[in-house]
Amino acid sequence: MDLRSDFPRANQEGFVTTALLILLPLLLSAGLVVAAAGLLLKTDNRLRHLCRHELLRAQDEIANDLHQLLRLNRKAMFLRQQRRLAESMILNPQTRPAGLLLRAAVKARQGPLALEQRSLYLHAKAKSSFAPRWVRRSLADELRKMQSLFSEPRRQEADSISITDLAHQSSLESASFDVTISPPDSETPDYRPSPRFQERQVMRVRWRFRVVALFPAWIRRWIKGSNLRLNSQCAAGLERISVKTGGMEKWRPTLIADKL
Amino acid sequence: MSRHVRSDQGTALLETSLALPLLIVIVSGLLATIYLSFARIWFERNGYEALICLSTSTQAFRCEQEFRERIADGLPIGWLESVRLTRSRKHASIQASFAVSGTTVFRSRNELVLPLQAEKGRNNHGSPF
Repeated sequence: MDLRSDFPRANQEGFVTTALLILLPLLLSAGLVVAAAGLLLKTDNRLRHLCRHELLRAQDEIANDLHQLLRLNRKAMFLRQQRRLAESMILNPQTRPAGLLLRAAVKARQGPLALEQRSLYLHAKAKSSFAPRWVRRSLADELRKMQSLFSEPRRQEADSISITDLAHQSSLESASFDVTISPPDSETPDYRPSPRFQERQVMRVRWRFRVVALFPAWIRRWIKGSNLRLNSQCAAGLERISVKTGGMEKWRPTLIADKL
Repeated sequence: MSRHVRSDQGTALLETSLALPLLIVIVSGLLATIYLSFARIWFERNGYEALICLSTSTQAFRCEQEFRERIADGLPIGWLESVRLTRSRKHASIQASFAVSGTTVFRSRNELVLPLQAEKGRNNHGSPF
Protein backbone atom coordinates (compact mmCIF):
# COMPACT_ATOMS: atom_id res chain seq x y z
CA MET A 1 0.00 0.00 0.00
CA ASP A 2 1.44 3.30 -1.05
CA LEU A 3 0.43 5.94 1.47
CA ARG A 4 1.70 8.71 -0.72
CA SER A 5 -0.90 8.00 -3.36
CA ASP A 6 -3.69 8.52 -0.81
CA PHE A 7 -2.81 12.15 -0.29
CA PRO A 8 -3.18 14.79 -2.98
CA ARG A 9 0.09 16.21 -4.24
CA ALA A 10 0.87 19.80 -3.20
CA ASN A 11 0.34 22.10 -6.11
CA GLN A 12 3.24 24.46 -6.38
CA GLU A 13 2.04 26.28 -9.43
CA GLY A 14 0.98 29.92 -9.16
CA PHE A 15 3.50 30.91 -6.53
CA VAL A 16 4.45 34.12 -8.29
CA THR A 17 0.82 35.10 -8.77
CA THR A 18 0.27 34.58 -5.07
CA ALA A 19 3.26 36.74 -4.24
CA LEU A 20 1.94 39.48 -6.49
CA LEU A 21 -1.46 39.29 -4.87
CA ILE A 22 0.19 39.83 -1.49
CA LEU A 23 2.30 42.72 -2.73
CA LEU A 24 -0.47 44.46 -4.65
CA PRO A 25 -2.40 45.73 -1.62
CA LEU A 26 0.86 47.06 -0.15
CA LEU A 27 1.66 48.90 -3.36
CA LEU A 28 -1.89 50.20 -3.60
CA SER A 29 -1.70 51.43 -0.02
CA ALA A 30 1.57 53.21 -0.71
CA GLY A 31 0.00 54.79 -3.78
CA LEU A 32 -3.06 55.90 -1.82
CA VAL A 33 -0.95 57.41 0.94
CA VAL A 34 1.06 59.39 -1.58
CA ALA A 35 -2.12 60.48 -3.39
CA ALA A 36 -3.57 61.63 -0.07
CA ALA A 37 -0.40 63.56 0.76
CA GLY A 38 -0.53 65.13 -2.69
CA LEU A 39 -4.15 66.16 -2.16
CA LEU A 40 -3.28 67.75 1.18
CA LEU A 41 -0.36 69.65 -0.28
CA LYS A 42 -2.47 70.96 -3.14
CA THR A 43 -5.22 72.00 -0.74
CA ASP A 44 -2.71 73.79 1.45
CA ASN A 45 -1.22 75.54 -1.57
CA ARG A 46 -4.61 76.75 -2.79
CA LEU A 47 -5.59 78.03 0.63
CA ARG A 48 -2.28 79.83 1.16
CA HIS A 49 -2.49 81.37 -2.29
CA LEU A 50 -6.05 82.53 -1.64
CA CYS A 51 -5.11 83.93 1.76
CA ARG A 52 -2.10 85.80 0.37
CA HIS A 53 -4.08 87.15 -2.57
CA GLU A 54 -6.91 88.43 -0.37
CA LEU A 55 -4.62 89.98 2.24
CA LEU A 56 -2.52 91.68 -0.44
CA ARG A 57 -5.66 93.05 -2.04
CA ALA A 58 -6.88 94.42 1.30
CA GLN A 59 -3.50 96.00 2.03
CA ASP A 60 -3.43 97.48 -1.48
CA GLU A 61 -6.77 99.21 -0.86
CA ILE A 62 -5.56 100.42 2.53
CA ALA A 63 -2.39 101.76 0.93
CA ASN A 64 -4.54 103.70 -1.58
CA ASP A 65 -6.53 105.23 1.28
CA LEU A 66 -3.29 106.12 3.06
CA HIS A 67 -1.83 107.78 -0.04
CA GLN A 68 -4.98 109.83 -0.50
CA LEU A 69 -4.84 110.89 3.14
CA LEU A 70 -1.22 111.91 2.76
CA ARG A 71 -2.03 113.87 -0.39
CA LEU A 72 -4.74 115.79 1.47
CA ASN A 73 -2.32 116.81 4.23
CA ARG A 74 -0.95 119.68 2.17
CA LYS A 75 -4.40 121.14 1.64
CA ALA A 76 -5.26 120.53 5.29
CA MET A 77 -2.12 122.38 6.41
CA PHE A 78 -2.87 125.29 4.08
CA LEU A 79 -6.41 125.61 5.42
CA ARG A 80 -5.16 125.51 9.03
CA GLN A 81 -2.73 128.30 8.24
CA GLN A 82 -5.53 130.31 6.62
CA ARG A 83 -7.69 129.68 9.66
CA ARG A 84 -4.95 130.91 12.03
CA LEU A 85 -4.52 133.99 9.85
CA ALA A 86 -8.25 134.65 9.92
CA GLU A 87 -8.34 134.29 13.72
CA SER A 88 -5.46 136.72 14.12
CA MET A 89 -7.18 139.17 11.74
CA ILE A 90 -10.34 138.94 13.79
CA LEU A 91 -8.43 139.97 16.92
CA ASN A 92 -7.42 143.21 15.21
CA PRO A 93 -10.41 145.55 15.04
CA GLN A 94 -9.18 147.03 11.78
CA THR A 95 -9.02 143.74 10.00
CA ARG A 96 -11.90 142.07 11.81
CA PRO A 97 -14.45 142.18 8.97
CA ALA A 98 -11.94 140.74 6.52
CA GLY A 99 -10.96 138.16 9.12
CA LEU A 100 -14.55 137.10 9.60
CA LEU A 101 -15.03 136.73 5.89
CA LEU A 102 -11.84 134.76 5.57
CA ARG A 103 -12.75 132.50 8.46
CA ALA A 104 -16.14 131.76 6.95
CA ALA A 105 -14.53 130.93 3.62
CA VAL A 106 -11.94 128.68 5.21
CA LYS A 107 -14.56 126.89 7.29
CA ALA A 108 -16.61 126.27 4.18
CA ARG A 109 -13.62 124.54 2.63
CA GLN A 110 -12.56 122.75 5.77
CA GLY A 111 -15.94 121.02 6.16
CA PRO A 112 -15.83 118.90 2.99
CA LEU A 113 -12.11 118.23 3.43
CA ALA A 114 -12.64 116.99 6.99
CA LEU A 115 -15.42 114.75 5.75
CA GLU A 116 -13.20 113.31 3.05
CA GLN A 117 -10.32 112.76 5.46
CA ARG A 118 -12.53 111.13 8.04
CA SER A 119 -14.15 108.89 5.46
CA LEU A 120 -10.78 107.66 4.15
CA TYR A 121 -9.47 107.13 7.66
CA LEU A 122 -12.50 105.15 8.81
CA HIS A 123 -12.56 103.09 5.62
CA ALA A 124 -8.91 102.14 6.02
CA LYS A 125 -9.38 101.43 9.72
CA ALA A 126 -12.38 99.20 9.11
CA LYS A 127 -10.61 97.35 6.32
CA SER A 128 -7.57 96.79 8.54
CA SER A 129 -9.78 95.41 11.25
CA PHE A 130 -12.12 93.21 9.24
CA ALA A 131 -10.02 91.96 6.33
CA PRO A 132 -8.65 88.91 8.21
CA ARG A 133 -12.21 87.85 9.05
CA TRP A 134 -13.27 88.08 5.43
CA VAL A 135 -10.23 86.07 4.44
CA ARG A 136 -11.19 83.38 6.92
CA ARG A 137 -14.67 83.26 5.40
CA SER A 138 -13.16 82.90 1.92
CA LEU A 139 -10.98 80.06 3.17
CA ALA A 140 -13.98 78.25 4.65
CA ASP A 141 -15.87 78.67 1.35
CA GLU A 142 -12.94 77.31 -0.59
CA LEU A 143 -12.58 74.31 1.73
CA ARG A 144 -16.30 73.56 1.41
CA LYS A 145 -15.99 73.76 -2.37
CA MET A 146 -13.16 71.24 -2.31
CA GLN A 147 -15.09 69.04 0.08
CA SER A 148 -18.14 69.09 -2.16
CA LEU A 149 -16.03 67.65 -4.99
CA PHE A 150 -16.09 64.38 -3.07
CA SER A 151 -19.47 64.50 -1.33
CA GLU A 152 -22.98 65.51 -2.31
CA PRO A 153 -23.21 69.27 -1.84
CA ARG A 154 -26.44 69.30 0.16
CA ARG A 155 -25.52 66.61 2.58
CA GLN A 156 -24.93 67.87 6.10
CA GLU A 157 -22.24 65.85 7.72
CA ALA A 158 -20.77 66.09 11.14
CA ASP A 159 -17.29 66.78 9.90
CA SER A 160 -18.07 69.10 7.00
CA ILE A 161 -16.13 72.28 7.38
CA SER A 162 -18.19 75.23 8.46
CA ILE A 163 -17.14 78.80 9.18
CA THR A 164 -17.67 77.99 12.87
CA ASP A 165 -15.20 75.12 12.70
CA LEU A 166 -12.62 77.33 11.11
CA ALA A 167 -13.37 80.13 13.59
CA HIS A 168 -12.70 77.85 16.52
CA GLN A 169 -9.51 76.57 15.01
CA SER A 170 -8.02 79.73 13.64
CA SER A 171 -6.45 82.86 14.99
CA LEU A 172 -6.53 86.28 13.44
CA GLU A 173 -4.35 89.31 13.81
CA SER A 174 -5.94 92.46 12.58
CA ALA A 175 -4.01 95.54 11.64
CA SER A 176 -4.66 98.76 13.53
CA PHE A 177 -4.04 101.41 10.83
CA ASP A 178 -1.99 103.34 13.33
CA VAL A 179 -1.83 106.93 12.07
CA THR A 180 -1.19 110.02 14.15
CA ILE A 181 -3.75 112.78 13.84
CA SER A 182 -2.19 116.13 14.51
CA PRO A 183 -3.18 118.63 15.71
CA PRO A 184 -5.94 116.62 17.42
CA ASP A 185 -8.27 119.58 17.96
CA SER A 186 -8.16 120.84 14.39
CA GLU A 187 -11.02 120.30 11.98
CA THR A 188 -8.57 119.27 9.25
CA PRO A 189 -5.54 117.74 10.90
CA ASP A 190 -2.62 115.97 9.23
CA TYR A 191 -2.80 112.21 9.06
CA ARG A 192 0.60 110.55 9.17
CA PRO A 193 1.72 106.95 9.75
CA SER A 194 2.98 106.55 13.30
CA PRO A 195 6.59 105.40 13.92
CA ARG A 196 5.28 101.85 14.50
CA PHE A 197 2.85 101.89 11.62
CA GLN A 198 4.64 99.22 9.60
CA GLU A 199 4.78 96.86 12.56
CA ARG A 200 1.14 97.41 13.51
CA GLN A 201 -0.18 97.13 9.98
CA VAL A 202 0.59 93.40 9.73
CA MET A 203 -2.46 91.20 9.18
CA ARG A 204 -2.15 87.53 9.91
CA VAL A 205 -4.47 84.58 9.46
CA ARG A 206 -3.70 81.18 10.96
CA TRP A 207 -5.97 78.21 10.43
CA ARG A 208 -6.19 74.49 10.92
CA PHE A 209 -8.69 71.90 9.85
CA ARG A 210 -9.18 68.18 10.23
CA VAL A 211 -7.55 66.35 7.38
CA VAL A 212 -10.28 63.68 7.26
CA ALA A 213 -12.84 66.28 6.24
CA LEU A 214 -11.25 66.50 2.80
CA PHE A 215 -11.59 62.86 1.88
CA PRO A 216 -14.57 61.08 0.33
CA ALA A 217 -17.13 59.52 2.65
CA TRP A 218 -16.02 55.96 1.98
CA ILE A 219 -12.47 56.77 3.16
CA ARG A 220 -13.69 58.86 6.09
CA ARG A 221 -15.54 55.83 7.44
CA TRP A 222 -12.20 54.08 7.96
CA ILE A 223 -10.28 56.98 9.49
CA LYS A 224 -13.09 58.70 11.34
CA GLY A 225 -11.22 58.71 14.64
CA SER A 226 -8.21 60.47 13.20
CA ASN A 227 -7.63 63.88 14.69
CA LEU A 228 -4.82 64.84 12.34
CA ARG A 229 -4.96 68.55 11.50
CA LEU A 230 -3.26 70.64 8.90
CA ASN A 231 -1.89 73.97 10.15
CA SER A 232 -1.14 76.87 7.92
CA GLN A 233 -0.98 80.64 7.87
CA CYS A 234 -0.28 83.73 5.85
CA ALA A 235 0.52 87.34 6.67
CA ALA A 236 0.79 90.61 4.79
CA GLY A 237 1.65 94.17 5.68
CA LEU A 238 2.69 97.48 4.18
CA GLU A 239 6.27 98.46 3.61
CA ARG A 240 7.58 101.93 3.03
CA ILE A 241 9.21 102.65 -0.28
CA SER A 242 12.12 105.07 -0.13
CA VAL A 243 11.21 108.48 -1.52
CA LYS A 244 13.14 111.53 -2.65
CA THR A 245 13.55 114.32 -0.11
CA GLY A 246 10.40 116.40 0.04
CA GLY A 247 8.39 113.83 -1.86
CA MET A 248 5.29 112.15 -0.52
CA GLU A 249 5.99 108.84 1.20
CA LYS A 250 4.76 105.73 -0.54
CA TRP A 251 3.69 102.40 0.88
CA ARG A 252 3.18 99.14 -0.88
CA PRO A 253 1.70 95.79 0.15
CA THR A 254 4.09 93.00 0.96
CA LEU A 255 3.91 89.46 2.22
CA ILE A 256 5.43 88.73 5.61
CA ALA A 257 7.55 85.63 5.95
CA ASP A 258 6.50 83.47 8.86
CA LYS A 259 7.63 80.15 10.21
CA LEU A 260 4.95 77.82 11.49
CA MET B 1 5.01 -1.83 -16.83
CA SER B 2 6.34 1.25 -15.11
CA ARG B 3 4.29 4.40 -15.11
CA HIS B 4 5.92 7.74 -15.88
CA VAL B 5 5.11 9.96 -12.93
CA ARG B 6 5.33 13.67 -13.45
CA SER B 7 7.13 15.37 -10.63
CA ASP B 8 6.36 18.98 -10.01
CA GLN B 9 8.65 19.37 -7.07
CA GLY B 10 10.84 22.38 -7.41
CA THR B 11 8.29 24.21 -9.57
CA ALA B 12 8.05 27.02 -7.06
CA LEU B 13 11.80 27.41 -6.88
CA LEU B 14 12.11 27.51 -10.64
CA GLU B 15 9.21 29.92 -11.00
CA THR B 16 10.65 32.13 -8.32
CA SER B 17 14.12 32.23 -9.77
CA LEU B 18 12.70 33.13 -13.16
CA ALA B 19 10.12 35.63 -11.99
CA LEU B 20 11.92 37.22 -9.05
CA PRO B 21 14.10 39.60 -11.05
CA LEU B 22 11.06 40.73 -13.05
CA LEU B 23 9.05 41.08 -9.88
CA ILE B 24 11.77 43.18 -8.29
CA VAL B 25 11.95 45.43 -11.34
CA ILE B 26 8.16 45.90 -11.48
CA VAL B 27 7.78 46.56 -7.77
CA SER B 28 10.80 48.89 -7.68
CA GLY B 29 9.48 50.73 -10.69
CA LEU B 30 6.09 51.21 -9.08
CA LEU B 31 7.62 52.36 -5.81
CA ALA B 32 9.94 54.72 -7.65
CA THR B 33 7.01 56.18 -9.60
CA ILE B 34 5.07 56.73 -6.40
CA TYR B 35 8.06 58.38 -4.69
CA LEU B 36 8.89 60.58 -7.65
CA SER B 37 5.25 61.70 -8.00
CA PHE B 38 5.31 62.89 -4.43
CA ALA B 39 8.79 64.35 -4.86
CA ARG B 40 7.61 66.43 -7.81
CA ILE B 41 4.73 67.93 -5.86
CA TRP B 42 6.95 68.62 -2.85
CA PHE B 43 9.69 70.13 -4.99
CA GLU B 44 7.33 72.44 -6.91
CA ARG B 45 5.50 73.55 -3.79
CA ASN B 46 8.66 74.43 -1.88
CA GLY B 47 10.09 76.14 -4.95
CA TYR B 48 7.03 78.38 -4.99
CA GLU B 49 7.34 79.02 -1.26
CA ALA B 50 10.97 80.02 -1.81
CA LEU B 51 9.81 82.52 -4.44
CA ILE B 52 7.27 83.93 -2.00
CA CYS B 53 10.04 84.15 0.59
CA LEU B 54 12.12 86.14 -1.90
CA SER B 55 9.24 88.59 -2.36
CA THR B 56 9.40 89.47 1.33
CA SER B 57 12.15 91.34 3.13
CA THR B 58 13.89 88.08 4.08
CA GLN B 59 17.45 87.77 2.86
CA ALA B 60 17.89 85.58 -0.18
CA PHE B 61 20.36 83.22 1.48
CA ARG B 62 17.83 82.46 4.24
CA CYS B 63 15.19 81.65 1.65
CA GLU B 64 17.62 79.29 -0.03
CA GLN B 65 18.56 77.72 3.28
CA GLU B 66 14.92 77.12 4.15
CA PHE B 67 14.28 75.65 0.69
CA ARG B 68 17.19 73.24 1.05
CA GLU B 69 16.07 72.17 4.53
CA ARG B 70 12.52 71.50 3.41
CA ILE B 71 13.67 69.44 0.43
CA ALA B 72 16.04 67.44 2.61
CA ASP B 73 13.33 66.85 5.23
CA GLY B 74 10.65 65.81 2.78
CA LEU B 75 12.73 63.82 0.27
CA PRO B 76 15.14 61.45 1.98
CA ILE B 77 16.14 59.81 -1.31
CA GLY B 78 17.88 62.13 -3.74
CA TRP B 79 19.37 65.57 -3.38
CA LEU B 80 19.24 69.09 -4.74
CA GLU B 81 21.69 69.18 -7.57
CA SER B 82 21.55 72.94 -8.07
CA VAL B 83 19.67 75.88 -6.60
CA ARG B 84 19.74 79.46 -7.76
CA LEU B 85 17.55 82.12 -6.18
CA THR B 86 17.79 85.61 -7.58
CA ARG B 87 15.99 88.79 -6.70
CA SER B 88 15.97 92.15 -8.39
CA ARG B 89 13.64 95.12 -7.96
CA LYS B 90 11.17 93.75 -10.46
CA HIS B 91 11.62 89.99 -10.41
CA ALA B 92 12.26 87.06 -8.15
CA SER B 93 13.25 83.80 -9.76
CA ILE B 94 14.25 80.28 -8.85
CA GLN B 95 16.08 77.64 -10.83
CA ALA B 96 16.60 74.29 -9.18
CA SER B 97 17.12 70.68 -10.10
CA PHE B 98 16.68 67.47 -8.16
CA ALA B 99 18.67 64.29 -8.73
CA VAL B 100 18.40 60.69 -7.64
CA SER B 101 21.40 58.38 -7.94
CA GLY B 102 23.30 60.89 -10.01
CA THR B 103 20.49 61.38 -12.54
CA THR B 104 18.57 64.63 -12.74
CA VAL B 105 14.93 63.68 -12.39
CA PHE B 106 13.32 67.08 -12.66
CA ARG B 107 14.07 70.75 -12.96
CA SER B 108 12.07 73.75 -11.91
CA ARG B 109 12.17 77.26 -13.23
CA ASN B 110 9.78 79.87 -11.88
CA GLU B 111 9.55 83.61 -11.76
CA LEU B 112 7.48 86.19 -9.90
CA VAL B 113 6.96 89.79 -10.85
CA LEU B 114 7.66 92.17 -7.99
CA PRO B 115 6.13 93.84 -6.17
CA LEU B 116 3.49 91.20 -5.61
CA GLN B 117 0.06 92.45 -6.50
CA ALA B 118 -3.35 90.99 -6.07
CA GLU B 119 -5.29 90.85 -9.31
CA LYS B 120 -7.72 93.75 -9.26
CA GLY B 121 -11.37 93.56 -10.14
CA ARG B 122 -12.20 89.95 -9.39
CA ASN B 123 -11.47 87.21 -6.94
CA ASN B 124 -8.52 85.31 -8.15
CA HIS B 125 -8.74 81.84 -6.75
CA GLY B 126 -6.46 80.53 -9.45
CA SER B 127 -3.27 79.27 -8.00
CA PRO B 128 -0.27 77.88 -9.78
CA PHE B 129 -1.21 74.51 -8.35
